[in-house]
Amino acid sequence: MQGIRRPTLSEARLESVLETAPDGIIVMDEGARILVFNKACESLFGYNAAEVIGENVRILMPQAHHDNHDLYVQRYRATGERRIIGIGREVEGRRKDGSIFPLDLSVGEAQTPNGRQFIGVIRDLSARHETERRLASVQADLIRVTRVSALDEMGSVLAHELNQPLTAIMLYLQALEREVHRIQVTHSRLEPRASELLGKATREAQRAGSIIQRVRQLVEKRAPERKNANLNAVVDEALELAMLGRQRSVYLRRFGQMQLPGVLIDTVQIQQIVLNLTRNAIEACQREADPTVTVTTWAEGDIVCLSVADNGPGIPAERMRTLFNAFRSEAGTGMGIGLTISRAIAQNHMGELLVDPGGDGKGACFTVRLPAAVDTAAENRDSIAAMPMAAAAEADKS
Amino acid sequence: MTVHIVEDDDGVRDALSELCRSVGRTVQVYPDSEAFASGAKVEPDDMVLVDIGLPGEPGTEVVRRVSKLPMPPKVIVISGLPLADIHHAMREFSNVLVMRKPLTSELLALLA
Repeated sequence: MQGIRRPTLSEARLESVLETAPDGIIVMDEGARILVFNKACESLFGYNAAEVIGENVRILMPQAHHDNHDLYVQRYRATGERRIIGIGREVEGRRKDGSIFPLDLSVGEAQTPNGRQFIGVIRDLSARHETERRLASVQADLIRVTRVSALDEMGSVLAHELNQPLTAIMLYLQALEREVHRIQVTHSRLEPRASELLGKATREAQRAGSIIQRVRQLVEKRAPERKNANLNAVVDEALELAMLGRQRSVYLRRFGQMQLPGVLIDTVQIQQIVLNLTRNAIEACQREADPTVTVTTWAEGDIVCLSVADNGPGIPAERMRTLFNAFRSEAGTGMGIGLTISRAIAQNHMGELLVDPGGDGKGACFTVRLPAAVDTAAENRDSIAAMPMAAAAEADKS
Repeated sequence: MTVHIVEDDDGVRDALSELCRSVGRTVQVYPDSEAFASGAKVEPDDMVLVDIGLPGEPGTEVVRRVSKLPMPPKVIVISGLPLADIHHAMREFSNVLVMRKPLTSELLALLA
């Protein structure tokens, strides 16, 4: 290229193409010696053209591929079988400083008066790989967070669900004990067997109660702090996660009232509700011609609301009965547990999760209502100290 | 004197009323806060047992309503909620007795 003679017009054109091409271009001969190394290659690999022209192309590959490359070239020359030529694939390159990076390599072949030559076009994949890696790590984080928090919520939901019948059992036993006592007094007849069995039943019920308390304490110890947050921002972030990696198969509409009052929430838990509802909504309307999920936030006095609506077929009446009762329904579908947990989270925030089942051409709509944050955390703490708690003595034992 | 029980769980509500009757109390039951608001006639020497985690209007509304009476009766809040949430829900009430589910014989002591 640095001839004494003036370059011809086509040579000059080729030169300018090589220098301005955004992709790396390498031309090598049949012996794998580098003939052309363009500007883009210089910045990709960190070598000047002068340093590599005439060298074996192996210099641009990780050590591990050196021998292989010679074999590849030999095999192609012997068999004519194409492994990369005209196909292109993802391979590794090695920079001058020794660092390895992923690249997309396409190879073409040309017959020239000087013999067969190979043209390689190289595109750096580091950036794309980095994006993919970040995406994967965000997704992994999300899965981990939701799993941990789902486990916590499962624990507390389970404890709560079991606690209710157990509370009833213990109260019935106490009432029964009174009844037995009354019979003994009024008929002046002793019932030692009945008293003994009642005592045993009461002890076992208390044992179940203390197990539930231990589960509850375990969960409560990890209970994350509530902070004053803007529901719009919390919802937007969750929606970003919900749509992450999803093909644009669903149209997501987002309406938000500006300047919402703050809410005192555990943002991860509330985002879990949003994720849950959004995923359910996407699933519900997937078969529609124009699947659309609408997420709206607004305030009603001192209640901050969030709704997730879909344009699917709605929820059939027979499903409505057990919709929120994952632990009571026969078939505990994933959606049921998700909704049970979502409702528990909403209720734990002194809010509620309501559903409009839709039907008759209308999709389902779930609404979360949360109380707006009233005042500062400091006031909050004072009243904890001031509140007398009788049966809360159990909390001190922990 | 009557014990007013505001509790949404059927089992717990019935068990509470059985226990109250076993110690000779008259009992009125309400499945939610709204039913209490529209139907309860509360006397000064009555007692109100209320769950905070109610569907619809929270149980704290019952506490608020009762505490506004000229001669408020005794109120006992029962709850299966995590402690932090009980504290949060009850932050504006400083003199209300709270009992966590499952309820122990302390309740019986209060009723007797």
